[in-house]
Amino acid sequence: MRGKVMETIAIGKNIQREEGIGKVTGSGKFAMDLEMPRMLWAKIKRSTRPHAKLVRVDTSKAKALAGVHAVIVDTDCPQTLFGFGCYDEPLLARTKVRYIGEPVVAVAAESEAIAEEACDLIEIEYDDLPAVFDVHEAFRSDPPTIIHEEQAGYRRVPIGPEQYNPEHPNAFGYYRIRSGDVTVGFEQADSVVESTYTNAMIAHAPMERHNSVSLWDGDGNVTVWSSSQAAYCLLNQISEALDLPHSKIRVIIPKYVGGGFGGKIEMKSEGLCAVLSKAAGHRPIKIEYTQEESLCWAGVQHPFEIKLKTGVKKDGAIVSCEMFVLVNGGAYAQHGFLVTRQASYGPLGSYRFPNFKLDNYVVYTNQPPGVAYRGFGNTQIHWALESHMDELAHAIGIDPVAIRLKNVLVEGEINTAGETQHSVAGEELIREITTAIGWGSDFVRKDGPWCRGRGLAIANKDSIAPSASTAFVKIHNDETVEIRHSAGNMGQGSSTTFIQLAAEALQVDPARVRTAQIDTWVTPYDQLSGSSRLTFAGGNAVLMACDDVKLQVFKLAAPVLEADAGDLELADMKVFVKGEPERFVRVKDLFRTPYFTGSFLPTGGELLGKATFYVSASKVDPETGKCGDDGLRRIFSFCTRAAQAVEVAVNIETGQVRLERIAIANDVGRAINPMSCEGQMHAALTMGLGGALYEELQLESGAIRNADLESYRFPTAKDAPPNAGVSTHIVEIPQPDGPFQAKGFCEATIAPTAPAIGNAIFDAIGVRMTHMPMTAERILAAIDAKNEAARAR
Amino acid sequence: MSRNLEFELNGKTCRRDVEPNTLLKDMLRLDLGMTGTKETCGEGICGACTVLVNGMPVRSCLVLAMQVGNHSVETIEGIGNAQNLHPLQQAFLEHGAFQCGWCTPGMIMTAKALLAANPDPSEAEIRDAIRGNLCRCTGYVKIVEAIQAAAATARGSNPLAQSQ
Repeated sequence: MRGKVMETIAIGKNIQREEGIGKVTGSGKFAMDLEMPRMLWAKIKRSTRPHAKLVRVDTSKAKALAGVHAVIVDTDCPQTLFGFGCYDEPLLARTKVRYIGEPVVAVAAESEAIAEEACDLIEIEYDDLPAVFDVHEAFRSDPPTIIHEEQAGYRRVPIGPEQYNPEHPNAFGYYRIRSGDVTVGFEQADSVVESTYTNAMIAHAPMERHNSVSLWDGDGNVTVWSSSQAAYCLLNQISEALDLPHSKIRVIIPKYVGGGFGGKIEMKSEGLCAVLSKAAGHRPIKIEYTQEESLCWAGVQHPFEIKLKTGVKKDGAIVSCEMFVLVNGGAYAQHGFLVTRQASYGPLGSYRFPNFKLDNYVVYTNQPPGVAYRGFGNTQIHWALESHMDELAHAIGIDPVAIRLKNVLVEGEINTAGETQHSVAGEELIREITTAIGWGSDFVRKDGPWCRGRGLAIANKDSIAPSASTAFVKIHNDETVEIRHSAGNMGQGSSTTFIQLAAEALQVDPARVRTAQIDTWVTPYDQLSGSSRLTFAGGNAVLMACDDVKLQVFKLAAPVLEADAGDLELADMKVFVKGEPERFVRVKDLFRTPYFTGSFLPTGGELLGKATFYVSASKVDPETGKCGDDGLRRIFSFCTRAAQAVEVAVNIETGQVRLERIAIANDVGRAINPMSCEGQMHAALTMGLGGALYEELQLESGAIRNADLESYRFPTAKDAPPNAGVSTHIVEIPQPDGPFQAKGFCEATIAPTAPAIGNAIFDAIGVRMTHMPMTAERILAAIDAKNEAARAR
Repeated sequence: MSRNLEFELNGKTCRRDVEPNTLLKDMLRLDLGMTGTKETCGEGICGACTVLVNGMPVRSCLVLAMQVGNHSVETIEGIGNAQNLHPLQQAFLEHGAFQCGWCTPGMIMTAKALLAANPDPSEAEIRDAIRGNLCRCTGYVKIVEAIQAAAATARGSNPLAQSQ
């Protein structure tokens, strides 16, 4: 299939976004723009203690305030626990609080201001417990405190090895990979390098703060309008938290969602506000998270500590690698176990490891809970691995490009986990970025206090399996095509991707295709908008639903055309006999319109194609994390790869780093919409750069000290490099089972940025940064330490 | 105690009764239902709520509604619509200068004020103008391209501007 050229009408075209007009004119309605008649506003009274028993919660003054309609505590809520694989979280704190910011009381009032005033009137008496923030302390067999005493009894989704280990009572998730014998491998190595890398907690900071409207109506149905990125995950969590069947819950996501990045997958306050709605006499309840709530308490990126020990031969071949990872999970599990599992496989998607051993624990602490963050831990794992790869190259005196080319996976290779690798763009990506940046060419290295250097990094992201996505495709009587799908379009452009795929499959002008708003009473199941899976899984489902609707069209047209359904084709909404384009009937003419009663089809009800795309996965041995030779050799749906090369300038007097040039390459299988692909690749300039150099939620005993956009700074237009310094490279290595050989790639876009910058800083000033963000202060401290060490010698 | 307010909104006289402590963004979004103006940080950092007052970009989260009395206010709803897009709106659409689109109205309003003052801005001048409009998704590359393209279109359609 490689290199195959096909005439297309929609695939590969820069078609404007379906939601574009709404975005540029401001007419598009986001969840935050919704208002309902008789709507009330909710506010949450949150814990001010990192770990404490609740002694007394007095809501009497709040309840007495004029304009307050409901005040609820834990005992007013269903006594359930919800979660995402580990069910450990109540809607409101139950007998104790586990982090600063945990919801304790919820209030509904006639205005946001009254609700806030009511929260101020609530009195909470705490009995403080010892708190633990450091992941090592929390991980101990005799930790200073146990955060979830009931953990052994929690309901869990089985995944890999045993997740709860009484030896580490605060660890709530564990993953392990074993291949070969690392001890034997290290004996074969010419050089062995050991290092440790860490990262700070950072925020997703979507521009549309988390918000929703919840209504628990008199018929017992719960309807939620939310800024969520994952309708069916939300539906499932509401169901668990409220102990209601799925059929009673309706989730509506507007076509406009202001960013997600993994931070809008789990339920936020949708379930809680449903309880408020019932308590307030079935009135709709709106909640808008404040900037502080959105940054700190709607899920954050997990801080990792990654220890690596790797042995290499003189020619650069890796012979052995051992990794030990501790993930600071925060006070509730949320996506922690999945982040841990995904990150564990990260190294194996990049390189071959003849001997490999990994242990990865995610641990409860009294910090805000971590969630998925554009890559489920892959940003952290590749930050460590790619910095470490440069250390290995320097240890044996070869070029950082050479060591990567020596070890990078190739097409069709079975990786260390036993999985066959398809659509592998390792070498191709490295060639693209090194050519673009002029790797190996001379450049001005010193300019006053500014020292320049270059660095590169590669990364990858596996997409979840098993995975399922359903699509409906309806052809209306005006020959407009409507796609019903529940893929959250939080900015990445998935609805336009689906439109392009359907237009191609049905051979119709994409302007005649639209998507429906997500409404789980209408739009079918989709696993989630996450794991870079929509183009692949959702796209395949759309293509299959197009096939189904075509069959329905052909069945209706066959008697009209006096031909076999199998001999018909569809283009431009004309059904014609193959080879006889003049023998046709228009699709709209298949409908009948008697009297004034609308139009209908004589059979079949409506032209509605339905299909589910399902990816199965191989059985994985929980002891080794590997799959066997089962004829499938598939642990994930697909793997997407990324590479970046950068040139930075480091000011040795101030520690400031300027990103001057960056070459960004991603493999996408096939670019359905190149302009949209480039738009996602540019994310490296804001999310990747910010995480690499500045972004950090500053914690002090569990409290976040910079919970606003003034002190939590992410890159502005002046921090990003000028356009002439940015080059993007779309690499198309066909994904065999992707829709038109395409696959997703959005998560991998930001993972190489930090290690590429770290490697360039080393190239510039000979200082190895091991903690991200690489702030000016940390760079100056590292320069001082290096000078100190040199003096000591 | 509400007070009478009269001002010009997108070219038309607008009369409202507002509380003295009502913010401009709340009057626009909640009272007038003009939700094209967005709000993120609420403290003048992110620029999502940018509107033009007498042609100057202001943060509507930092301005009281009463302060615009007898002044002219322009919002994203006033500069174009689906049938008649403003050149900036057209350029943002054609260049794919948004991902989630939340920052787009504020970004376009800031760019409109820039191009009114400087019809042929350099890339550095564009970046300087939009430095107070945060975007989390795009990396700013296509936003800069779109503003450059809109500026070129505007100059092309205005011989006076072109000759300057």
